[in-house]
Amino acid sequence: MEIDEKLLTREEKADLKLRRLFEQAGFRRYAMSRFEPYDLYVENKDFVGLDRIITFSDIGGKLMALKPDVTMSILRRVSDVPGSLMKVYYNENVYRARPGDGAFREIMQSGVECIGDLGPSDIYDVILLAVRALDALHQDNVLTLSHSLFVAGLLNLAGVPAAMENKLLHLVRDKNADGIKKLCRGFGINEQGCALLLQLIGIYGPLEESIIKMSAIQGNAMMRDAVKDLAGVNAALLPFGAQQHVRVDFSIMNNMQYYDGIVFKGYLNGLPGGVLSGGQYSGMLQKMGHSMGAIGFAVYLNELEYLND
Amino acid sequence: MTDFIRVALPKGRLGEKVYTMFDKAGYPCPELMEDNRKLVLENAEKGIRYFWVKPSDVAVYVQRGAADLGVAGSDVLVENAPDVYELLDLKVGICQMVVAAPVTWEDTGIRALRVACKYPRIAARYFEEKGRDIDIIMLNGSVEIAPLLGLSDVIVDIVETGKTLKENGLHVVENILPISARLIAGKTSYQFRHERILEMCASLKAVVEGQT
Repeated sequence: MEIDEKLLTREEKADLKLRRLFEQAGFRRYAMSRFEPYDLYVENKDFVGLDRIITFSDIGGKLMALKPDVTMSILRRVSDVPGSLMKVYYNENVYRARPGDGAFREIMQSGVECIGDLGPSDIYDVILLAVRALDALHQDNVLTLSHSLFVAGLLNLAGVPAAMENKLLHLVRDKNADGIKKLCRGFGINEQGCALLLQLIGIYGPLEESIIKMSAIQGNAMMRDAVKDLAGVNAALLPFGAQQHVRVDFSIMNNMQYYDGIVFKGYLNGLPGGVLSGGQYSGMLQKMGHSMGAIGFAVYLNELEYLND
Repeated sequence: MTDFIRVALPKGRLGEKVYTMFDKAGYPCPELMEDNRKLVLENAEKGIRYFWVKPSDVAVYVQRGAADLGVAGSDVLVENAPDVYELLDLKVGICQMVVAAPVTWEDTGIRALRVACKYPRIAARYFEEKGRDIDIIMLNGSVEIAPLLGLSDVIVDIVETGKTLKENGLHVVENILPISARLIAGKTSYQFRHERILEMCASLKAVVEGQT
């Protein structure tokens, strides 16, 4: 049957483009149930990042939830098989409370997960796919990258105590340089340490330029590993010209307990919030008892409704 | 077509003060200070468009992408936690968020403390950290009157000089946090207009440093 694309909504057209892209990149469709046991999210509340979930009791009295997240549904079904790599994509509705008034809404989410014996080239492939996914949605796009090891290494180097960490990360997320200086004074961090922490805001821009700035800091092993990873990404994107859309930005934060490598967020010009979010989350798999690597991203298709023609 | 940087300014005295800082930083819009009722004003030559909005709404315009930049009080930013970047402390509109009570009042601790305020999240967080059980009474203005009429035991409010408190028989019991006006930016705007935004931020920073 021929598909007349003129009849499709913007969301449906985007979904179709992404499916083609994901299939071409060797990912296979993964279908799942609309419901999951509520316990799945309670046990991993920080990873899902949600306080409120729609629940109901099934016929046997078991408490179920309308799924607020797709990754957890996939993770609960994976098993450790040495040497194997699962590459899947999905298109699912998730149910989340809206920031502000807290009303629940249905969000159409499309994305990929790459789980298993993960090598650097698999990570680069997923990041390249994220750039291509943004390109498929809108030509004016930016993919911002951060690396949790660089952030953790820099905090370590600056001598940030545990009690200061969350407050500091909050200020980095807000790009609040004045707040960082004040916090450093409060915790007795010296000027040199404070200057280092301000780099988490100061280093922002094209990938190659940022890698040079990151390398210029006399860092520790964690920071050097992060620089190496990002240099690998840059080299992998260069042949396709995809690095042009990529910037380093440490203000994009995910829970560092679960995200333990490159994290990224995608923006389209004209849409107020990020439209794509992803990263490496091996820490989450370890918490679930697996010894595999994982990277993935989600695209929030409902956001596209607000894009001007 | 001019690609304008859109700036949401808070209506009122603070907004006018903040505009003079933008003017000094090299982003004038003379029409803005004229006696007119226009809400949107621009200087095409400088590529800047200003608009006046209610102070508590500035962050909404910025977060939702209707403005690239805005100026909001840190009280609003702490209370509502909008998803925006907080680029610069403009060091104007300086005041304190405090707990105030009638001078004769003493906390006996035998029941939940009745707290009248316009900032329920800030008040709830502050007393939770202190481990004090409270009953929040949300008001939209003239908070100082609540303890005088027996509506609340204390208030959480913003104090600039302390004159209103004094004239109503109240005094500051505790300071919660210092407040000032902040330059905020939308996250998507920052990604696509970061050079101009950072340039404006640097010019404003020079103005702030020059006046302190």
